[in-house]
Amino acid sequence: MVRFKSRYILFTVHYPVLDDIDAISPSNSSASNVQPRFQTKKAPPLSDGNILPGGKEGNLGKDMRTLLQRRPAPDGVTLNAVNTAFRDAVNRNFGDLGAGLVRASVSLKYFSQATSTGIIRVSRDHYRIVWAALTFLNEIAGVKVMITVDHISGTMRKCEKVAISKNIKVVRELSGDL
Amino acid sequence: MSRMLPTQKAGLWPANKPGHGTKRPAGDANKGRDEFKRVKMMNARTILSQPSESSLKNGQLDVAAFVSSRKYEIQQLSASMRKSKAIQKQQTFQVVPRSLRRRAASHHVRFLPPRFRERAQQEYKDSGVQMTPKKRQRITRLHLRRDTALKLRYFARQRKAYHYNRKRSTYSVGVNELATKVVMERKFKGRQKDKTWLPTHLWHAKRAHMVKKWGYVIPSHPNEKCFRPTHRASQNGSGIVFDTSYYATMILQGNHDGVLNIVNVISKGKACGKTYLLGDRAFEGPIYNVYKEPADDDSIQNAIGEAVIYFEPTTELHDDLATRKSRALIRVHPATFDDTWKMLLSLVKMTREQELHPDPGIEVQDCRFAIGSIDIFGPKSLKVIGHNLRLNLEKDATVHEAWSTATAAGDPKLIPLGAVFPLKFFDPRTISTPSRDRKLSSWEPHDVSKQALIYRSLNEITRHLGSRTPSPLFTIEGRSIRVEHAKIAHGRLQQRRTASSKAVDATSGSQILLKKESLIFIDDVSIPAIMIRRASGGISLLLPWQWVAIFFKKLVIPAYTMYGGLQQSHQILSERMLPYFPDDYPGTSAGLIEEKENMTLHEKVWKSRPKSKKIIYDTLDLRNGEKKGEVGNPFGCDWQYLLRSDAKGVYDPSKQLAKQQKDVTIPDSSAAGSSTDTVTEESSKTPLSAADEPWMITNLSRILSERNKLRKELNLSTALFTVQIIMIGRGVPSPSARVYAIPVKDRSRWMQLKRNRKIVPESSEYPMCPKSGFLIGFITTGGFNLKEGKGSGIASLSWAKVEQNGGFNYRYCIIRDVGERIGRLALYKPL
Repeated sequence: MVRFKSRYILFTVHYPVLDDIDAISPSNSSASNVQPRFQTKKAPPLSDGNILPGGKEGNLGKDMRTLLQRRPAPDGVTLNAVNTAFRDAVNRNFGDLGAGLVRASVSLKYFSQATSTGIIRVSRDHYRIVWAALTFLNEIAGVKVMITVDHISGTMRKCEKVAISKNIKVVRELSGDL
Repeated sequence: MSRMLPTQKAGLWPANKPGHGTKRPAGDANKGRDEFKRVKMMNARTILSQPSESSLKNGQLDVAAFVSSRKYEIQQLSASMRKSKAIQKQQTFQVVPRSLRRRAASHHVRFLPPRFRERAQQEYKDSGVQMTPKKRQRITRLHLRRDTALKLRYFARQRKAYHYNRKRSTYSVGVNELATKVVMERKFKGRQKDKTWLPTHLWHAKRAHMVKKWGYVIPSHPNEKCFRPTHRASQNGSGIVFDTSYYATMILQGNHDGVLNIVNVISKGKACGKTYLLGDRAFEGPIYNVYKEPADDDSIQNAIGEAVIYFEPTTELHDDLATRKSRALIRVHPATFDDTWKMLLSLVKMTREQELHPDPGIEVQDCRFAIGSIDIFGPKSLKVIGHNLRLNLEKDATVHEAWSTATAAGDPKLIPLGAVFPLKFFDPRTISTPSRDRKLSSWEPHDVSKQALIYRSLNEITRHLGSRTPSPLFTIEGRSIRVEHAKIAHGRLQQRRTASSKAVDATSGSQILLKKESLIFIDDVSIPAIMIRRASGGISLLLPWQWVAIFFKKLVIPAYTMYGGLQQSHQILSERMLPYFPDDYPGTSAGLIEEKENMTLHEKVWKSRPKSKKIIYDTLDLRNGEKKGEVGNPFGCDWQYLLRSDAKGVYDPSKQLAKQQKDVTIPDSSAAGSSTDTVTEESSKTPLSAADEPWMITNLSRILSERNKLRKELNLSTALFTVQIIMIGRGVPSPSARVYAIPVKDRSRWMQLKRNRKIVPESSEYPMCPKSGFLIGFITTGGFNLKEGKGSGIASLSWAKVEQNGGFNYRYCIIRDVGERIGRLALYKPL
């Protein structure tokens, strides 16, 4: 009997547009010395639209960037929304064939609103379809998103481990000085 | 674990299913059980998550909340991993790790650890497993009478043994004579007539494949396949434990001068440095057979093998040296014990005859069955020891300090080479929290300054460690500590658990909280042990023989440390490119015997296979212009062939029959490597004279620099030196593979392989294997090296052949497995 092999895709959802953040409260010392110079809905828009500032214009501290890149999901982006969104993406980009190939084996195993991290399970033969669909996905429930795939592996455990190590790194960066 | 309870929004948590994460099933028994299982499965597979409200409040991103939401996710993911692992455990016996499991545990409750038996019993009953039924009581009269008679006889024997044991206060030591061996488990006395069991024999026999070697029954390898687990455990795990009680220990005792003299002679002066004499460090190096010719030269011929020599620490080194009593402990491999013992005995006799200070007289004690040992290898091994064995906290603060620093570090490599810790342990069965319950925190030495600090402090501390505290292990009285019955020890453990852990501080009068480990009862025994940091990077723990089994179990079981056999220690050393005794020492008689045994075994196996399923060596066509057939004896390393064949690779034993009676002459410098008059190989049943056996060079650079001078003194035509082999490109060397030097004209072709990986053995550009005249040695240990990520091995090369075929500076060679046609490029590096 040939075993059924699957791939677990660990992904993070990023939100390039910061409509709903007014300020980042410096509630710990490491962030306190950073001046919040970032794009908000109150401030005038930058020349190239409401995109995440960085580089020479946005003089963000490393803390800021860390936070902004991994912010929690805005209201509309829930587990169900993500679920429907990426299945739609598969359908749109790969048609009925793609959707059919993938439908039986794909499932959203985990999605956290707090950290915008998720794990999708797909069969090994068709995981690239899902991967590509995630790349093309740029809107979930009206919110502009960008999805990066952090890790793909054959077991759930490895994805979980990678997610944990990324979180540890983030926590260390933010609270390491304490 | 503080969980941030999210707001109860439907559809948001847990991540997968709306509603709560855990459920309690309802319903009748069978249905309930299935339902329970299903719910359990569901719960295990669900990962809880938080909704975004918890870190995003009023449009403000709170950094602290952000961090805590990440932490929550970490906790939940870890919990998910644990839960899904636990849910897969179908049965109780699978909770026990595979390496510690007994096979029959799946249907026989007796083979499980006691704490699982009740649970398993229920499970087996439920699942309808065919359990092995209890033995039926034989109730007929004759059987009853017979059984009673057997029982009476058994008890009578037990009583006799009890009295016998009570009389003996000393445990089997032979003074100036061989010790009588200890019989473990008197019930199995019959099986130990011609072999000696290790203290942990029964434990290993149930879990490992045993082999009879050097008069001992030693675990060869665990029942489970463990090539990769061995590598992992030794490289980044909690380590591997070996019972090495088969190493022969001898104690040389007497007046200081005499002892020093003998040690000086057998180690050619190397073991008599100041730090060794003080007992700060243990010497580890070759010892030589002083009765073999030539006896003077200081780094060459006649090494018997490696030994560990440890002087009993003395507090002063100056006054009245000659008469003061001194002891040296010498540990050798059992294969070399006979030679070493004979030599020591004769040296002792000689010293006695010339005795200048007859009191205390010099003597050598055979402590093979009085002192046993456990070897541990691995980066966390010290931690395992620290957590599972209770140290008797010395009044001497130095030992304690060194110990706590060392166990914090965990890695024996941080201890200085040869450092010795004379320690005293309490009965390890009385430790109340073994390391399974405590976390073996992985001390990550990323912090370089911290690492340096620990190294420095260990260095300083261990410098004078030994000189303060001589170990009771040296004396018969010190070793004779009775092992109490397991039930009594268990009772003590209970005592400790229930004893109040609070005490009143004598000085201040206030109540202080004592750790349970610091409770010392009056009748606690203190077992002497010596811990030595070995050259291979592991540690040896010397213990009294009767305590080895108890300590061993306490190191393996609680920490799930791996246990290993001979093959595992071989693998560990070969991964680190170190030679393993005796396989990689063909220059010693132990190595030669080992090789002969292996050859006979291989030949036997080969002969028993049908013709279609084996390689016929006679028909091997190397396609390099020579006649067909394997070079030398195909079943092993044919040292005789190597050393006796001429430049064309021809070795004809029958040719030498006429010259059998002639003595061997040392060849002059112009004819190095050419075939000399020889004694025939073993096939014509004439034993080799001592001058013809290969011997090992231990100091290659010296020989190279003084070769012309030494050529006259030493028989360099039979000299071998050990090298490490690293494959370049593909290929894995097997043991007894042939090592060739590259002929000068072919060198460029072989070097091409390095640059152009596309040249595959099948292609026409791949160079032919060199002719048999270019054979320079054999691989003694070879395999895929998980540490290096490529094939590697240890080989012994013939000095004469290397000199003849290109010299010692060109280090490339070709490796060809026995029975293979293809040679592979490799690099050798002398040790």
